[in-house]
Amino acid sequence: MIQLEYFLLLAAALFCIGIYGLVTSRNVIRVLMSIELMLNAVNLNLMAFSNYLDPASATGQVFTVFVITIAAAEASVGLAIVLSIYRNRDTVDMEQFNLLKW
Amino acid sequence: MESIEAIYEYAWLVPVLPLVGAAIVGTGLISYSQTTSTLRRPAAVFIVSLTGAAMVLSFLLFFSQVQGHETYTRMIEWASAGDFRITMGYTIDHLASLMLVIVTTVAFLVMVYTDGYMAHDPGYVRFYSYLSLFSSSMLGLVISPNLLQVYVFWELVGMCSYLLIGFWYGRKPAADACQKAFVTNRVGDFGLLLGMLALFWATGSFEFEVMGDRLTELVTTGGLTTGLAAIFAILVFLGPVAKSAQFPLHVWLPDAMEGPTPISALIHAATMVAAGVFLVARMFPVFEQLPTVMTVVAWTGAFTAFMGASIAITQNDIKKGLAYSTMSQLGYMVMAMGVGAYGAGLFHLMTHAYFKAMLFLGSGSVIHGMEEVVGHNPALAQDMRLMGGLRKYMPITATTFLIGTLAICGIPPFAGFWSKDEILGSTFEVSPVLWAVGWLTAGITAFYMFRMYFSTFEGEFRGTNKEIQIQLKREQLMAMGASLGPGAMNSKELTLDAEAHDDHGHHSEVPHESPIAMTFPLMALAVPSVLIGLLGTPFANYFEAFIHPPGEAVEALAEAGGAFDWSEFLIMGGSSVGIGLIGITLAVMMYRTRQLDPSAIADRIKPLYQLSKNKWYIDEIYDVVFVQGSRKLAKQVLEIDVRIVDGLVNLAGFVTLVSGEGLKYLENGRAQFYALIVFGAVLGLVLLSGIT
Amino acid sequence: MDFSALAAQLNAGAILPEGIVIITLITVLVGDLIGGRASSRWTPYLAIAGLFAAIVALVYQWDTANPIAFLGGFNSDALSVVFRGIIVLSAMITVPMSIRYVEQSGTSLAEFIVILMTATLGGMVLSGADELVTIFVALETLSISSYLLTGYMKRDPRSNEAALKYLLIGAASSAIFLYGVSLLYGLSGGQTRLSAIAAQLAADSSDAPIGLVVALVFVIAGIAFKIAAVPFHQWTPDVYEGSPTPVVAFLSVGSKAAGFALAIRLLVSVFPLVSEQWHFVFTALAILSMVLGNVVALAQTSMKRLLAYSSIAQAGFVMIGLIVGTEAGYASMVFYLLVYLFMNLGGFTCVILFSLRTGTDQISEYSGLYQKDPLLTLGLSICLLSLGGIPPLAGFFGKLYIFWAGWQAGAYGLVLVGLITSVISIYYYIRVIKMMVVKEPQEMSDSVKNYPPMRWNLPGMRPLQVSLVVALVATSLAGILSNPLFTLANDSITHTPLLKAAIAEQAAAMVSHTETVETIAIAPQ
Repeated sequence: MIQLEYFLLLAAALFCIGIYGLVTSRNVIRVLMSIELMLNAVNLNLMAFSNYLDPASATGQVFTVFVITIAAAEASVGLAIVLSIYRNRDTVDMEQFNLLKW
Repeated sequence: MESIEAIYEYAWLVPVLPLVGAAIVGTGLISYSQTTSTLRRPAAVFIVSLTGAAMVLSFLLFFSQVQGHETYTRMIEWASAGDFRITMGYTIDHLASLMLVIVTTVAFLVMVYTDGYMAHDPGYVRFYSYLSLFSSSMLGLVISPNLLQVYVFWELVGMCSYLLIGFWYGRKPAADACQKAFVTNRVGDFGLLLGMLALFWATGSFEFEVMGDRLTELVTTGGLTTGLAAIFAILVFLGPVAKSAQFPLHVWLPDAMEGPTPISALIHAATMVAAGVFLVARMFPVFEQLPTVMTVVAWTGAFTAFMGASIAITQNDIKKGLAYSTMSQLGYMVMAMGVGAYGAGLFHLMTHAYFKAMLFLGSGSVIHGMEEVVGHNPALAQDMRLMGGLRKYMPITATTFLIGTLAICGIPPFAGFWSKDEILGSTFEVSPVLWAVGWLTAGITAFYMFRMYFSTFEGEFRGTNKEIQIQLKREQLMAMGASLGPGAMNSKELTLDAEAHDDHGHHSEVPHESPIAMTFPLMALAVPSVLIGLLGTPFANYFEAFIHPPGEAVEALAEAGGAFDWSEFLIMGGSSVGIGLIGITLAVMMYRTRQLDPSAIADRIKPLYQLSKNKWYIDEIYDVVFVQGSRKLAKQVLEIDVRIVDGLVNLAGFVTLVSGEGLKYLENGRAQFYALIVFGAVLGLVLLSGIT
Repeated sequence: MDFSALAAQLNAGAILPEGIVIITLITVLVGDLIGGRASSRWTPYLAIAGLFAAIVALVYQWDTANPIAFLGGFNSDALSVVFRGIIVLSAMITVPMSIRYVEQSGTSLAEFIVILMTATLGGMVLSGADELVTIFVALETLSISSYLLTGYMKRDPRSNEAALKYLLIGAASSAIFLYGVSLLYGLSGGQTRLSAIAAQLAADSSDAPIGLVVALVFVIAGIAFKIAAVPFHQWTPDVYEGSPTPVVAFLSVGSKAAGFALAIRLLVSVFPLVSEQWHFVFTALAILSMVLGNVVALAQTSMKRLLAYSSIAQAGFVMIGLIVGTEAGYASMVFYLLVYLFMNLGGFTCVILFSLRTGTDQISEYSGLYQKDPLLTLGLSICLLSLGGIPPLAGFFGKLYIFWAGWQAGAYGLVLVGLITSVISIYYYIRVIKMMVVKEPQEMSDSVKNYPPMRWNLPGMRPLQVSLVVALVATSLAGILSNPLFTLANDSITHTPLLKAAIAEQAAAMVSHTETVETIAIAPQ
């Protein structure tokens, strides 16, 4: 049997990769992808807990479905914003989005 | 009787009626000043009738109290927070009702007098409103039931005095004088406030008797050292020291003569200065338990009495002479309180109020007459060297002035004799040294008062003597700082002679008697000056029966007073009359018959003469020590404030602004940086929480 | 299937206010679809009416016998009622403010209102959510609507950038929050209802496992993002500066209030085992917020950015009430949020008015406004003075209550920092007022010189005026006549059983703490 800890470890690793991607990507789309990665890492966490701790009532799995939905909504909104910013600024380089500062 | 009770319930009207008058006239002056200034007679009638009504009410209360009505007190709660409660109200007991009568009668007569005296003054209506305000404050003071309320009215009375001394505020000496009065009184009031608060802290109450009882308790049980209690009481005594012009806070009273004469009579002779003595009387339950304090009070009074008299003998200004005389007589009153002669002190307060008011009003009448001859220059109109022989021209004034002089000298059967004699008698029982000081002062008093009388009313009229006028003007200019004499470059010197030959500024060659508005009060006041002493004769002392210190039973007093000793009376009375006669004789010889030459005597005792003429140089000392000294101190403190305190505050502000400017660059506008900070913070917090 | 029976079983009546909001939202949407451009004349008023009806429904919910609904997913106790009221009220005042602004920018008003009401809905459900899934969904509803609102002005690159930043940081924080929630789910062995989680955690062990601390910190990260506490505040100035001003108004009040509601409910129910830890974390957050918010605000030149930093600092003050954990602490939080609603919305209304007329946001452009527009000057001055805590305005009483609650509970350091930073804050508020009032006519800025005359009959200006006046009146009087608000705040705390237990525990902890201190003091003898 694969132990619960391995799933948690994997989820943590994915989460950290997502953080790294969020912080270092230059492309906005890449950043959005990293956010999705982070959310999916959490999904893994929830599924693992649900499977190992409380398999009878699949609360965690239901929670996961909710999270997937919301992540999709968030991603669509994010992409819409990226699109409008691209229309105005003609770039998707994170370093260029510096109008509001100090 | 119910009607009598009703009067007590309406006793609060006594101070309120003049206040209403002052408020209405004052508001009229502020809002419609043109109209109100022209309504002179109506305003005067209005205010005088309000004061008259207050006077009638006071008399009714007095008679009720004489007939044995008990003390009536009415209080309302003014502020309370938990255990702490302040009550205000009024109390009518024997002393209060007596003071009410004195204040209202003198105020009424002074107001009538004002109509004549200030008839040509543009500030006529303003004067009446101030007078009314003062009367209201003084009346409120005497019916105050506790020390806190006394303090409130004390300050009000001081403020009215300030307004009235500086009434002719365009004149620099008047403006200076009213400031001096205010500042000097402030020193005394500060002591009073500190003492009042200290006593409240120690005893928890502002009521006089309660304070006295609790203070005695604390001292006997050791909760408070006698020294500390004495310090508290002396702090409270500082208030009367200033208000009643005792040494060392007496310096304002002579300068206060810059105000119009009616107020010199009302405030600085009869009532306000007596407020100090009144407060000592009210604080008697506290003071009499502390022998140190009583000694301080007695010696202050004695010293002041002597000092005032010693300065009065060389004064040339008629009002200043009377001012020093007032100071001296107040010293007597304070000394009487200090030796425990409660009744005697208050008796002298009453007699002095009447005859001193009359003397001042008489001097006002004289000045009024002199102004017709020499013009409206106080340096000329008030100087006795320019007067003389006024008895022919102003007989009523002269007669009443003579009555007042006899009264103050302590010649029986006039009022002053009985009161002064009682004081001297009580003082002798306590301390012969004090008695000696008082006795000598009585002689000096007689001397200078008759000097004044003779210089003013007897002999030849010197008002038209040009040489004296020039000399007086020269003295006035020298006092204002100009340098005269050969070689002086002052243009005023040239005009002096020119003015002397100028006829403008006076209307007649000889003075005339004053109008009835002014002479009626003089005559009215002459009556009590003669007769009121008979209320307090040692053989049938109605006064003592009426006015006694709280806590002393009437029977005990009657017993003590009953043992009247004729021989004692004759010795004491005789000695005081004797020294009075010696003083009068000296005055006669120097100023009437010219057998002795005053200037020769002055030359013989030159240093003493200068000391007396320059008011013991106290004004000069105060100027150097306090005025210049505090200015220097203020300059130093200003340096510290600007450099150090301001510097610190500015530094704090500067540091904050600079850090704001620096920290704002943390927001560099890059979203990924923000995300990094978020993750960093989370990591940091996990580590921190995990470790702790 | 019997619908009404199901509804009764689930106690659906608890979400009646939310239902009203949904119905209004749908009506506005459909009405705009049918009516077209002309519908913008009545849709805002319909929205206001609907929100008002929601408030009325909330009033009826005040003291219900059974507040639990949806099998423990929603809790409409007094605390949630008061916070839902705050959020609805903030939306109700934001709608009139936004009519003119949105019209002038040429975008659709109805969509704006719909998204705004969605955000309101999300905030309301978040205030009463008692279960992990509900919390997350409501939180995301609120957040995503806020991202859309922030980026509403599509043509304005600043609005776009603000939306992007908001989304990125918000999504990151949501992810962290969700991770923490998943850990909670795991630690409690599969429970999602907050009360059940708490019970499970208490039953498992009395000691706090490291997992719980990690979950705590992650959850706090999500909450702190919502309430803009330092160091999770970096998005606030940029988003406030770039968004359309009515959106900023709503975010600064409604979104923050929802965050605080979540904070109270989540932290108090689930984390009593680690209450020391979260008190410590929040103390650090509060001090940093108060200091940084006030100090950096001193250096700002843009009005909206200034108000952003000021709202960071105000959140710091409110956190003091959260930390002390006494009844007075929570009540003072609620009271302050109520008062903060009016003064902040009033301030933003004035900023909107000014930017509509002059198109600029710089503080220096406000010079000499007093000559041209006294009403605006008065409104802005009063709101800023109230924010600074000047008596007799409402802000003073709010701050007073919080500081008193803090002092009474022994949080002397916090209160001292709060007082000092309040003093610092007065500087930048008064600087603006000084610009407006004191400057001579010749020192007027260009914008003020060219100030267009007042035209109140343009569509949407009247509602602006109304909301300004309402906010002004409330700010001026809510302090002096604060008794009703005060009782409301107090009652909301005392009627909430969740908090009663927490307050009792806190009091016990404080007593035992002092006892241990005393025993330690006595022992060495």
